Amino acid sequence: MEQTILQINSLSKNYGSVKALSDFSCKIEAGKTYGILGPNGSGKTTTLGIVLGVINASEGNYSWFGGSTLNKNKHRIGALLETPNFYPYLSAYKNLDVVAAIKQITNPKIDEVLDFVGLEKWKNAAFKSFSLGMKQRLAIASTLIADPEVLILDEPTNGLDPEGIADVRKLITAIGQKGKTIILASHLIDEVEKVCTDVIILKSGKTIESGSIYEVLKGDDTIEIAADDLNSLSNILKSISIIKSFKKVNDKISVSLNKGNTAAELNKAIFEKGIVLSHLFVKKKKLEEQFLELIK
Amino acid sequence: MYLLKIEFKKLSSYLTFWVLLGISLLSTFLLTYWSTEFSFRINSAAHLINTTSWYQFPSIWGNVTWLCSYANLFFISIIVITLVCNEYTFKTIRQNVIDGLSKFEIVLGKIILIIGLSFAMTLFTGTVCLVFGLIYSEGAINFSGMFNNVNYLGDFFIQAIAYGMVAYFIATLFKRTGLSIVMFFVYKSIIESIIDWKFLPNNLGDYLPMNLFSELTPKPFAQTAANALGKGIFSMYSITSPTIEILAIVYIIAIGAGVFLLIKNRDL
Repeated sequence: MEQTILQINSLSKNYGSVKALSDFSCKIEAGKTYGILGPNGSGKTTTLGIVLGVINASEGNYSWFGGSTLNKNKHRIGALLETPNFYPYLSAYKNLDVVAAIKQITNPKIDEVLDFVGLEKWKNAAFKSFSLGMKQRLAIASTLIADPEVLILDEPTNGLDPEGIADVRKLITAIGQKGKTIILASHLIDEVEKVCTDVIILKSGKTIESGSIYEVLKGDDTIEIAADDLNSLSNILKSISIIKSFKKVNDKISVSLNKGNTAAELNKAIFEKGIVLSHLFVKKKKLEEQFLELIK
Repeated sequence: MYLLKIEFKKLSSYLTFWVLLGISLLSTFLLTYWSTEFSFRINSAAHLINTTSWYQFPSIWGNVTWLCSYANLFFISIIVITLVCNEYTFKTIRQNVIDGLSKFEIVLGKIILIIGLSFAMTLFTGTVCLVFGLIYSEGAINFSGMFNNVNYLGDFFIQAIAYGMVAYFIATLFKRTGLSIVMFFVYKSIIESIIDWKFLPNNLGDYLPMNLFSELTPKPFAQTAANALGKGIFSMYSITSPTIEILAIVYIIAIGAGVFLLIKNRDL
């Protein structure tokens, strides 16, 4: 079942002269788990705020579920944007009751979702007495209350303890496996890597990469080489066609190859030019480095 | 109707709201109870007023609604400003939109709440009028004429909604409770007076919104006093019923539209 959940067409948002988001387009398909990755201030929350109707876009448009308006479909979406916002004087239960009334759910499973996030003991306690972690859990519970098809989570593990972080990630994976669509915004790549199938990388309001997580983040490896005569080695590297780029790092040269070429081919090419390598080491690039390189 | 249900769920255990509502109803009762004492002090021509007739049907409707309009002005504005500014302080207005309300529904929900509050206050004031009227009429109740001036209660209802809407507009503009309450009363008692006195010729000031809303419940003994003294010493209000009611409703709709436009064009 290939179905478009959300179509975004060249969205832009300006705050005065600051471009928080420029010409952002993407297509969210049913059943996938998307990660929107980017440093703080890259436009993640702005994008989600626009498609959820709380921020007015300066340009561009979006459509939910193949063209219908967002308002009629909000019960199909569970969303957590930035901080958990609830009425401080109401209990956890009553706060969820308000959310259920807004989503017009007839028999909300409030106890069930509170149980799910581990707040059942505090269901009658006022929201203002909660710790940040508990507030975050309540916010997650409120996104699940309508059993939505699409889950939008903006920094969902913010403020949680390690156990809570693990719980939430398990939860997201479990929901994803139920065939639901998840959009997860985060600046923690390891979070995105653990739960997402697709990724969109934003920087200063611009999309710099998007695609399956494998394609985007599993980048090329770099190969570290050295020879007795480093100068003549670097001279001949210029004439080898399979090399994308290289640079000198201390007494070694770091080389990245074009897609599909291997370290063995490089070794052979250098040998054919009459130089014998004294050092060859394939460095597997970590996601973190790959991400940092992308957003540079 | 589900919008009212949502608003009610938000308020169900909000102590501040219930205390404010309780005080406003209590003050309506006390104002009415003490009103015969007040009326002497309010106006120098008060000796012309027959205080025994103060609670008599049908004049009680006009007397009490005029007096209690001050409680209306004070409490409905504070309640509305508190509730609206809370939504900004707690960022729940943002969450409500994320959870599924459109911006139009957000505004409509609060307007319904204002109408509901106004209705409750009117109903209570009406009941107080009825009870005091029955107690003090000393057996001589003229049942056919007793509801003659009951239309004052309708004006009182429109006035409560109008004050609530002005409060809603100011709260939406400033977003902060304290500032909004100050601005509400500054506008009502200073800004409009200055505009009226400085910039508007003749009776045009009568058309300023707060002036107009206030005259929905006119001072009951102004006319009596003027008549008794045999001259028009009181500058009488130039707009009469039903023009005043129609204008008030037009203002209410315009203010509602203004609130919606403010929220629609704003990032929450």
